[in-house]
Amino acid sequence: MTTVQRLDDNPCRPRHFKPPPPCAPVVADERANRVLETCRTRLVATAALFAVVFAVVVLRLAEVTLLSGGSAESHVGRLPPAAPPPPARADIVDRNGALLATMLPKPSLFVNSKALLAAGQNPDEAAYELASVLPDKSPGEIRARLVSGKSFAYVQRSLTPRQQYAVNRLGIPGLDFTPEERRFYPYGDLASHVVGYCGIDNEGLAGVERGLDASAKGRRQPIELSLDARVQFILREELLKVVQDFSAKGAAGIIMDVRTGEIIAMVSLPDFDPNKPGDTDAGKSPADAKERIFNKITLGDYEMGSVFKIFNTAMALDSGVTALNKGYDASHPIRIGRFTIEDYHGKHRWLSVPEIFMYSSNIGSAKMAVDAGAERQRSFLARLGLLQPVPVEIDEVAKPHYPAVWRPVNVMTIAYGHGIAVTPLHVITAVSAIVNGGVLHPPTLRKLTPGAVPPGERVLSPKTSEQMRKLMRLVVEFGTAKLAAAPGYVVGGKTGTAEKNSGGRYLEKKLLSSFIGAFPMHDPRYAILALVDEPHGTKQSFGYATAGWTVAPATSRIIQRIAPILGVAPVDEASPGITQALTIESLQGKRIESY
Amino acid sequence: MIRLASLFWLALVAVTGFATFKVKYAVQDIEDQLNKVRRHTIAEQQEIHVLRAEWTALNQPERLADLNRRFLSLAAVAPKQLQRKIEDIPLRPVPEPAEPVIAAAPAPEANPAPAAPVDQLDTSTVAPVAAAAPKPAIANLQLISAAEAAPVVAAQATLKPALGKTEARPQVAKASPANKPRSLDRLISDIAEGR
Repeated sequence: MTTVQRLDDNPCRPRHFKPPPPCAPVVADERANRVLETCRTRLVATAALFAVVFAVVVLRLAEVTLLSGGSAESHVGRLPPAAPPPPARADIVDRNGALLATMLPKPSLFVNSKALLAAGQNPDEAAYELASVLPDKSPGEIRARLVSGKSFAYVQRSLTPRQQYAVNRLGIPGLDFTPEERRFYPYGDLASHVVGYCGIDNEGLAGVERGLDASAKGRRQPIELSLDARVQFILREELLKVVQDFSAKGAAGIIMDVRTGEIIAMVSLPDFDPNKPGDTDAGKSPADAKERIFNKITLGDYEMGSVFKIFNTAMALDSGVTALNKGYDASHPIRIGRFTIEDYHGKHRWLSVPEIFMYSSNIGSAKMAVDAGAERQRSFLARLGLLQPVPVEIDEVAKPHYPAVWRPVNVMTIAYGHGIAVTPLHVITAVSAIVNGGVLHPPTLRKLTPGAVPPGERVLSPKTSEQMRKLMRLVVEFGTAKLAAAPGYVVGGKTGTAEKNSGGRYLEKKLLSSFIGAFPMHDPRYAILALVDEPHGTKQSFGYATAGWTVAPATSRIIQRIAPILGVAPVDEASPGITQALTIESLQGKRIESY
Repeated sequence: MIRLASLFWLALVAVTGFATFKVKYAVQDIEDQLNKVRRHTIAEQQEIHVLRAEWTALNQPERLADLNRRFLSLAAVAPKQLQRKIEDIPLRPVPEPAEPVIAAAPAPEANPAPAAPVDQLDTSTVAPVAAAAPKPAIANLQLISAAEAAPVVAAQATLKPALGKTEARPQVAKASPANKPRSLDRLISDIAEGR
């Protein structure tokens, strides 16, 4: 130890500690000196380090306290933006962003009776005041809850925000709310079958709510539907009018963008209020509620009747079995087995293909189908997607009904839409493909990015598509659907009036009248289907309940109202460009007799 | 010497400690504030959400149609109203420089003739401003607001720029029988009609 040498001078030296014998002074050797030096250097280095750190602390402190260094705002960005917790289910909006379904806080009001009574509140007075803001409950009922003596008793479930505010304003002690969320459909019954509804635990039970249940849960971004609420409203209003005018059982309608397969509007009547799906009108049976919830568009399998002649003619033309300038003898009914195929608007003569289509000749269509053959017919219908359920975002889709074995009689009846039952959604999807140039797009209820063309499958040659457009235009110009014309919008289409099949028999008085059309026919943008279930003829329709008198005029009104909304500009129907595009050469110069 | 150094360091530690706590509390305060604002923001967002739902419910097409029937009776657009596209409409020929329509509006007793009393022009405190203003329309608007505040002065004040500026336009003044100072709405509708 180097310190030993100076021990002797230490006045604090304990007495028993003897100094070492005097000897030569201990001279620190080289090694000890070196160690000493190292220690000192290390000490200085450490001190310097501490000093630097301390200085940094001091400087930073001086900066934040004295110079108010840095602004608080610059740190706000590090935090996630303030947002409420994601809703239990995502909102559903239409293509323009209008809310179709949303979550609303629907707090429930409960009372802590002990606290209320302890606060010295007069229960009679409180019950009276509460009853004034909660019209569903009588003061007596409320009073019973208030004086129950329990510390938790519901006064009212699912308050509206306004009611909650009113209750808060009363300032009655002992009342409180439990936070709860409920699904709310601001448009009520407008799009009930598309949007569907939710159960008490906010689980999707029908429509898009069910079909897109998984993606709706816990999602912050709203689900955008292809629907347009304005078009939906117009379609629904006009169909309601048809139901009322012809005292029909129900009606249905769809409007589809033929270029993308987006469903712009979809109505099935009668419908329901998704805010209270189980409710029926006073005095109606539960069966009525079931009828209301039934979606005719996707669940209703119907024998569509003459509308199928579109597919039949397209099949015959596309396969080259026939051509527009050819024809068939429709002068005599066809007898096959126990069936007799007759014409409703019989001409009893040889008819060309356009005439068969225009006058809706069953005989001609049946002969055309026989010419093409069963296999061709079946594969064509399958290609159009008419033999399997429609792939759409709704779960409630029906399987089409068609014969397991395609017999000759089936070939004939299917030609004019009997013996095969498909949903209206099938029909409009297939017709969209036929008029849009021959590309089948699966129908969708989700909004696609504008301008994007979804993938499609070619099912028809563009030439056949063009011919079909001409034929469909002919029906509206001269045929059975003259009342569907909407001046300026070049409507084309086909009517269908089918007798409903009940237990194997066709009921003459129970009709299903439908019209399927597209506009503008020289460059189709939208397809529209309207059908009415069991209409009854009126004075205005001269007793007719056929499609040409029931849904065709409604379609005309609908198109005239929705076209400006959908951005379809009216054109001069007589202008040479359009007439040329829609004239059938083989009919030129011939007199077309009205049906 | 060592004492002095220790004292210095002790003082520095004390100051630093004090400052640290001060900053800490300040930050806590700010954080509390921030949380409050965030809570508030969330509450507001939720309220906006509810209001949006209510707004949508009030905009039910059915309800709007009913309101239209009762108050507006607007009809749907007919195809013949849409026969042309916007590009088909020729541009309007460039109009003459804007007339100070409003200037001549009120003051029925005012004589619009060019021989209006000049002394009124001079005595008015507003007139020089109006005359100096490069854009008569703006000056007039200012005058209107002033006029609404003091209707008594209005008749005089509004008259002045008209006289000062538009000696050659008596017809503008003639076309305005209004008695009261004009509102902006009137101004707009007048401009729309006047062209």
